[in-house]
Amino acid sequence: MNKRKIILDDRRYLIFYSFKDAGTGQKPAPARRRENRDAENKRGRRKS
Amino acid sequence: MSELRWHPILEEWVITATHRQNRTFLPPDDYCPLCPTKPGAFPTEVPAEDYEIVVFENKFPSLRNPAPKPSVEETGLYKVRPAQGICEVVCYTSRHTGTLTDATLDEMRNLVDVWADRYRELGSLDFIDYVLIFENKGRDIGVTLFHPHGQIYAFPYIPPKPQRELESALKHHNRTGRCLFCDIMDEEKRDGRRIVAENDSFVAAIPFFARFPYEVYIFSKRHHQSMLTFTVEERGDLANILKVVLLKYDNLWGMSLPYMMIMHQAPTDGRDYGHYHYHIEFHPPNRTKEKLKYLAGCETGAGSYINDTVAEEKAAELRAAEPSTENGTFLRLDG
Repeated sequence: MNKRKIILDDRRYLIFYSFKDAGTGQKPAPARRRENRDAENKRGRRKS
Repeated sequence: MSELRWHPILEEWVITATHRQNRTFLPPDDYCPLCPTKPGAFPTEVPAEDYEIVVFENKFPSLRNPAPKPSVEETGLYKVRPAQGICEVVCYTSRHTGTLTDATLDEMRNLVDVWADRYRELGSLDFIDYVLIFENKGRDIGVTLFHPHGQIYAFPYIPPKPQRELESALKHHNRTGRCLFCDIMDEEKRDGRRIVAENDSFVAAIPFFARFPYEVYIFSKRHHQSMLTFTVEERGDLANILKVVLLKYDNLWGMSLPYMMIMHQAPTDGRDYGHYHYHIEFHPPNRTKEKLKYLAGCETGAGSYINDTVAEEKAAELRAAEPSTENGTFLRLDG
């Protein structure tokens, strides 16, 4: 879920909520650290 | 003029908001203020050509921040306070026609996330003690705009009905050591006749004590005080059971059933409300397809409701309505 807040002319706020490309709300998988990625590249990726 | 006036007989606040007399009233479709602003067309409340869900401060709020100074001086008997709070409008979709029933499951799931976010953000404000998420649907309820939308009132105090629920829940907890709402849900499940639908995380029922013929409560099976502790699965299950109940309502008589939908969560005043329990209430005014239940002399004057029906029969009607849960109330919509 992404939020974008703007202020209208009469000082009221308005928030756009968008979900496209925002995933399911679950936490994204943590990015693999470079050293792990390099090690995986050396030994080849395992199939899940 | 806008202020809180104390009702010393009922011991509750009354909100005066005289500017609301001038709010937009059933405008033609081309001038809907909740639609996106199309190029060359009149500017609506939403300065964008499209949107998924938008939330904005109500142009005609009952409560506002900062609140204007009250227009009258208080006396020893008549207390007055600024009507400080926030009133938001939640536009469910950029599509002008249709209702929340037409939302896809994904859209409903997104709305659940928005509701949770608004509860968290508004509830975190130091002057907000209670966040009420609700929807008034249909001309018979008195809506002034037909674009699918709900509202949120962030109060500087706990309103009387949630306050009464909190007190009875605390009394029950002190007496039994158990949650009043968990016990109600258990009793409804044990009896079974008033259950309308069920999934892994929620139960929908017309409870034993219903005051309106088709008054459905949705209870979380787990003992939550608010949406903030829902798991991802529970948020999905809430979207699912909401869709089931709304479809049943509209299929009951083949018409879009008016209702008030009200979400009750714990106050946000920083106190512990572990004895309270998250739930949603639906109050449709219809007692038949053509006839409405009015809050007349007995209800308004005595606060005592007369229900012309019994919950067991009305729940059976809703179970039979599509999507049918007649042969077991457990139903999960897909897609």
